[in-house]
Amino acid sequence: MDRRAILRLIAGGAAASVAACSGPEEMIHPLANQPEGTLPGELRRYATALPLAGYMRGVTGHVVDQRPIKLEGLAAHPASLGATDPFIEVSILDLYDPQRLRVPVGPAGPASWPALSRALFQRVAPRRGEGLVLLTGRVTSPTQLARIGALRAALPGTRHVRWEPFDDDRAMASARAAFGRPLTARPRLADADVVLLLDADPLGPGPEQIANARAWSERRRRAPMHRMYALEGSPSISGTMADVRVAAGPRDLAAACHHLARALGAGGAAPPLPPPLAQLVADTARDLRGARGRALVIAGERQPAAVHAFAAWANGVLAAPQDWIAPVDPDPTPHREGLAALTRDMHAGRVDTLVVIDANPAYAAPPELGFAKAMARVPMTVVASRFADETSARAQWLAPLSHPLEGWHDGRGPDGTTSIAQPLIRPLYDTRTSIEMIDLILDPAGGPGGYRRVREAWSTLGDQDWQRAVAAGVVPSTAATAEQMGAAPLVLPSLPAAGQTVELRPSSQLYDGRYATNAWAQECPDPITKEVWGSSARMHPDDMVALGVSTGDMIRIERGGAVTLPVRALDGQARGVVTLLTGYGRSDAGKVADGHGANAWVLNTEAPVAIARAAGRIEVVSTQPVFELGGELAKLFPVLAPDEAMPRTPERLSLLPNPPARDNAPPQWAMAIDTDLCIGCNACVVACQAENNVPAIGPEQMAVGRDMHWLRVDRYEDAGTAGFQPVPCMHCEKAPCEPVCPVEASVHDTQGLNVQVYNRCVGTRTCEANCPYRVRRFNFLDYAGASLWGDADDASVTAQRNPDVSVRARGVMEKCTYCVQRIESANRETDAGGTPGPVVTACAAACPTRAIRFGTLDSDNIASARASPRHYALLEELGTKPRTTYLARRRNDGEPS
Amino acid sequence: MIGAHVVPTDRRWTLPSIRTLGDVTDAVAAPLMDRSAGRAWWLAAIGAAVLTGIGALAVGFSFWYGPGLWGNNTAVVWGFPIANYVWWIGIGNAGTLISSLLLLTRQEWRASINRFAEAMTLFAVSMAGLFPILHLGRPMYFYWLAPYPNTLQLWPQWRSALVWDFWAIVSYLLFSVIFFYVGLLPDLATLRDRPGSRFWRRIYGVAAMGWQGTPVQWRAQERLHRTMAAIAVPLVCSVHSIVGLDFAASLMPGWTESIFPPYFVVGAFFSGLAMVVLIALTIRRAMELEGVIVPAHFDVMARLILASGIVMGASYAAEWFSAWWGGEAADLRVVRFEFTGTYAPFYWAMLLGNVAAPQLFWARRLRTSAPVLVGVSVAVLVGMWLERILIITDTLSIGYEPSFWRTYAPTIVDFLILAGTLGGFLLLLLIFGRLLPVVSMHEVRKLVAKEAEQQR
Repeated sequence: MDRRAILRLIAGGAAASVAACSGPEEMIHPLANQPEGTLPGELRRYATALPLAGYMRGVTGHVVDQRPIKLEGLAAHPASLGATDPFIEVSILDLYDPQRLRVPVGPAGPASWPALSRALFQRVAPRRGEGLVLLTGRVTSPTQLARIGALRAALPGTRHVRWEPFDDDRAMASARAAFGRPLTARPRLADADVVLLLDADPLGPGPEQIANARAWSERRRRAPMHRMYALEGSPSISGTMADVRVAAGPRDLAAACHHLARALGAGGAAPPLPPPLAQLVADTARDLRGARGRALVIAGERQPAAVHAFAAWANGVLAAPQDWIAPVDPDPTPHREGLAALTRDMHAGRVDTLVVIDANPAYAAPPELGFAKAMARVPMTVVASRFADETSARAQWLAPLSHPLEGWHDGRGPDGTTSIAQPLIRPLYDTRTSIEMIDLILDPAGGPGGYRRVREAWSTLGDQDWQRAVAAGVVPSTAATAEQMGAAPLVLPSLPAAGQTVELRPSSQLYDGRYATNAWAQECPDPITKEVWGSSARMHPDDMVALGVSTGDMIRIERGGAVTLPVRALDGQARGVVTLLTGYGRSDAGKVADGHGANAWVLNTEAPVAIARAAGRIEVVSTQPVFELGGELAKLFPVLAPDEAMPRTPERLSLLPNPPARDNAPPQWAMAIDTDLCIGCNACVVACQAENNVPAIGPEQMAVGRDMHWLRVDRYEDAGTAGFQPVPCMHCEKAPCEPVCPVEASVHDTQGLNVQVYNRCVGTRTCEANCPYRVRRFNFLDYAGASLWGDADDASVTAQRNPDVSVRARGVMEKCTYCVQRIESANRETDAGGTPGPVVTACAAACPTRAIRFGTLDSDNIASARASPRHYALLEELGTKPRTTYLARRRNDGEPS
Repeated sequence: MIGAHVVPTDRRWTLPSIRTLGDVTDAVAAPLMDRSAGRAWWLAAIGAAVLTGIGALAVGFSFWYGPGLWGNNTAVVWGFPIANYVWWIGIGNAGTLISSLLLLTRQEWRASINRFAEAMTLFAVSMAGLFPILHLGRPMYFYWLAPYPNTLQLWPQWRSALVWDFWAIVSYLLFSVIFFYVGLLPDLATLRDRPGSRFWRRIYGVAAMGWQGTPVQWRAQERLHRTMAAIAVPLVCSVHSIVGLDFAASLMPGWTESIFPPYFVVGAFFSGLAMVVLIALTIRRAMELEGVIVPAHFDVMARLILASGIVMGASYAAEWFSAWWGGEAADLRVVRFEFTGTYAPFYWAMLLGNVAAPQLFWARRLRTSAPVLVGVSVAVLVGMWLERILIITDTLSIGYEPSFWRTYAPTIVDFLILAGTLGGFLLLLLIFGRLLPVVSMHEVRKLVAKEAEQQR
């Protein structure tokens, strides 16, 4: 090659690199003419809905520049009531999750939707659907049900099986036995003066958590104080909030039912009870009888049908505030039987094509079914899912599902209220909604699309009504009506044999496993153990001594299947009961989900239990080392009797008194948190994370103890009482962090906020060293830029970030700001001559029980809290004068007044 | 006993091997100018350089990835860097105090040890000065602690002990350099005038700044030296008080104690003396200075270590007492945690090193026994380092909120950075030993003359 040739090549290369940086070939249009009513960076709110286990819960999507960035509650929806739970809060990250499936994948690698449709059609059409099985989770969507109906009309052989890992089979069975048809019991906690929980967790994770918690909190606010008794195998949220709680295994619980039946007027034997339980039963019986018409017994979902039947009988006798409604889920087949029958057919080779939509039976199916093995016997398997999972790993075809915020949906809430859920964003990837997925089986073109199908299903609504229903997020008067049922017959549960039992509970973070791919969910501390990125089996300390293990040691549990996982001592656990949380132990589900904890579902069967020590140790990271408060520490979490007041502390004299606010002083912000209402659900924790661009940092960093959550929820227990205490920044008037910062990055503003100037921070960390509340968070590494998603391109995650909140750099201290961006947005509106709505922080907006109140010092909201006899400030004696203050926890365990 | 050739003599601070003033100059300057560096020096220098390099690498990694490479967590936000800083600056204390306080109190024996003690101060403060910058989350902006003119018209927070500290370190370092140099001038001139390599003599000549030894110059030098010494004593006390205030000006249990400032001054002197003893033992042997650094010096220093050890013990007792007497639950919790908590073995080790080990010096024989001196000095240095880290971890691990009690575990990077500064300190000392007279020749000459006069 001569000199000229080389020069030519260099010139060509240079020209090519210039050409690489050019605009798109097509004409692009700058946003010179703004569409009416839109401003760049302006927040718009849209009503929509998200499903959990098939039940819709209304949400309000915050959309900025066509990007949904945060989900809040929808006041009009009875399953949201304007509040959220952690599942709603983490869902926004699911939308932008880099692990999402993006294109259909066939047996030969990446494929297209038409290819999948053709393959399906060719397989099922000639046989008129014979051997085609559609397996879904719970379906309450009228449109989806209509499409399944249409599919069956076209292909009569089609079978639809719906299955949820957390089923309501036992409750339904008891209702069927009592009333001849399946019915759903809906306790009205707002009207109940006395509540007895038989291993029930109405305030715990699930589709009805928000509604139950709101109802419970409404009753708890009203005087005279109500009383909640809890009998449970392992501490739950409801048990923590109960006024009287006794740990009871299945045998004790059944025995307690016998005693209660006697006390409520039925005869029968009285099996022996341990003393604390006998006391509880006697007190409960007295209170229940005394509060006829206002007394309620709730049986836990996973209790045997007989316990449900007993509760139904007791509620009949007590004329309890409880409604019966026809099940929202129209499919009367028991979940477990349905799946078992399907799996049998799969094993027998009677299933030709299996289409799984948004369900993960290979992970969560009962072990005796051998679902994963059965899948191998089905000639064609199609799995539609948002994320890779155990089922999709075993399927030939993988169909990426849209996020609910990407397409049109509808569905019913737990009370039957129907929502039409509008999309807030165009699908990010080449995905289909579950409605479109069903259409795909029939129509290679994929049907007319989700919008047309939903509109068709709601053709009864006129255009105006439709618009109104979509904008409001609920279709008016669609709630199920309460049915008048007679008294249920008395059924007494048989006493199970004494011995070890294993109990499965939904994780408050991952539920049945469907949120395991979500980094925020994994990093959200468990309400009870505060464990993150994993979960231990929970055992009574004495049982552990008997087994020769201590917290962190591995145990092997066998029942149907076998798991090996670390164990954790938990006071308040019943003897002989081992409790496992579901949702962990995922495989084939990506970097976030895989390898944390063990899969509890493999124990989900009726069989004898064997528990043994296993080799090794894993200390699951817990963010809280000490739960027990004693001695002087007890003042951190005071517990009062119903009418007791906090001891008045004399005003402390100060050499540096606060200057009195002048007439034109800006509003002074403050927060008041009622620990008597906080159920520790963590909705606020994740809401704060979503609103304030708080990074998830991963298990290794959590293990070092570098949590970034601006708001933590402490759980404390002391002599029979337990409770939760959310701790955000106290915004102290005399903030210890301010004078110690050498560069004045921690300063006070005129609105009473203790603000952190990120740009000024040099990272001495002195402020956190001097913060008695430990609420400041430091970016030890580049957390905002780091990826928890492995090799996947994580650029999409940045689209979730709130444009009004700085993304913090490495080496910078950060902390709760009282959502200063919301305060300032209201200030801007005031400056522009508008009247902004009340400022609500993300945590206060999320709170299902409205335990967190936010406002100015002179607002009713705050002034009334500060005037309450239960009012106290955390570590008041340090003279920090916190703006975040608390209302003390109450416990109503004495004689009824 | 130190030195086999101890012979009875009336002279207390020099040996008979030093007879004339010229002997002093020869003894000190010979290893510098007449002999080339030996094998031992090279081995030590290479070892120290390697250690320094490893430390620099660890610092580089920390700058690149962030403070997340260390063991610090959200509760124990400070760790090794701050402990190392307090420890190093404490070591610096002894050099200044030996030079200035003993000069003011006319303790002539200090002449044999003040030079290298001052050099040690310089190097220790240099090592200490690295850490406040290094420990920052954003070290590139360390200068924001200074009130430099800027368009935002922002000044530092004058109420913050860290700003006081910034000034304390800067002024201490500048002062130490000048004080060292003023004391060095006559000796530089001596080296200039001594036969030897032309190149080095030129350099010494320039550095001597025209020192001719005229009475006017001597008077000026002595006056300046003495004045600076008078400033040095309060300065060094204030520096260590301010270091104590980094902790005490807070509201954390175990830190808010009024005893902290004096207790930090004594602690600093204590650890510094231990380091001086180690260095004195080394150079005495390595540079054949048995004639000027004599057992009596060690005897005096051992007495000082014993006295400071007792004060340290009293300070600890005062801490425990005030926690008990005050009855504040948080303070009691910290004291209980010190004795029984996660770091209890280290706390006991600290008491052993700082309080128990110096008690050996009650015995006169042990005060001049090299192995005992080395053992106790190392015990004191380790004990004082443990004290520095425990002050941080004990308080921050067990603050007011039990839900946030977290323990601290250092990482390899933490240790490498500490090792790196040890290497750097050693390397600087080794270079110093080859470049400058490790003993103040003009002051020892004065001492010899005076002792000779007394003999007569």
